[in-house]
Amino acid sequence: MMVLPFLLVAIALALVFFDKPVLAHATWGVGLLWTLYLLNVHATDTLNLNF
Amino acid sequence: MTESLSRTLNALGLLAITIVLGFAFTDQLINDDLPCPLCLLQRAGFALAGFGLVLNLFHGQRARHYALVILGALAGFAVAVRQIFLHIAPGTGSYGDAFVGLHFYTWAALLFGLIVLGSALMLIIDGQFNTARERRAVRPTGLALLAFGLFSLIVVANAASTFAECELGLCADNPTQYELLEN
Repeated sequence: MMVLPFLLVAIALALVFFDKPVLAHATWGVGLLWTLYLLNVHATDTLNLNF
Repeated sequence: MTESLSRTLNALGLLAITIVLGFAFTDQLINDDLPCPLCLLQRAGFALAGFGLVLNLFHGQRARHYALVILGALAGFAVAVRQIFLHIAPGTGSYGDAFVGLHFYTWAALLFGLIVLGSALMLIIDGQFNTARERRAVRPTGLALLAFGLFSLIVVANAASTFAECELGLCADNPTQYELLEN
């Protein structure tokens, strides 16, 4: 789960390099949403991690 | 501001983000200071913000590319502020070593603020934006290509390191070992 934001940005960078900007934007968007989801998971009562 | 000066500034901005990610990665490798879950999300925020600058280098400067930079930086800022708040009360400890008196998450919050400020300042300048008719894909060369190459390298390195540390799940709260290497 934690690896996904980096993986998605890496894929988005490759898509920009190969001139697929629309797909790159979409991939980046999923990466952003996943990052925010992970922040939410981190702060939930179940986990409520300290670091 | 001319288009070429703006491109140079975008390349320098991308290099600066790469240096920040590289510094954290070097600290992880040399001092065996494994990043915590929130630290990884802050790194992801820098990667997300840097992507907008890459778009500026490859597809010309556009307001919406700066918007991606700001959105990525705000996501990272939210994570950094959560970590600051977790440790703001006396006796709640901290994570990792301090650098020039501030912990990495405090530096991250400041840097995300600077990225937003820098993007806002760049958006003020109209001269860098092409009209819809003039817009075309540009193959970056020189400094821009170097910045793109190094940035891509550090993003892939972070993906590999995060996979080694956490495998496919969530990371430990206070990680002390690479899970992939232990199994």
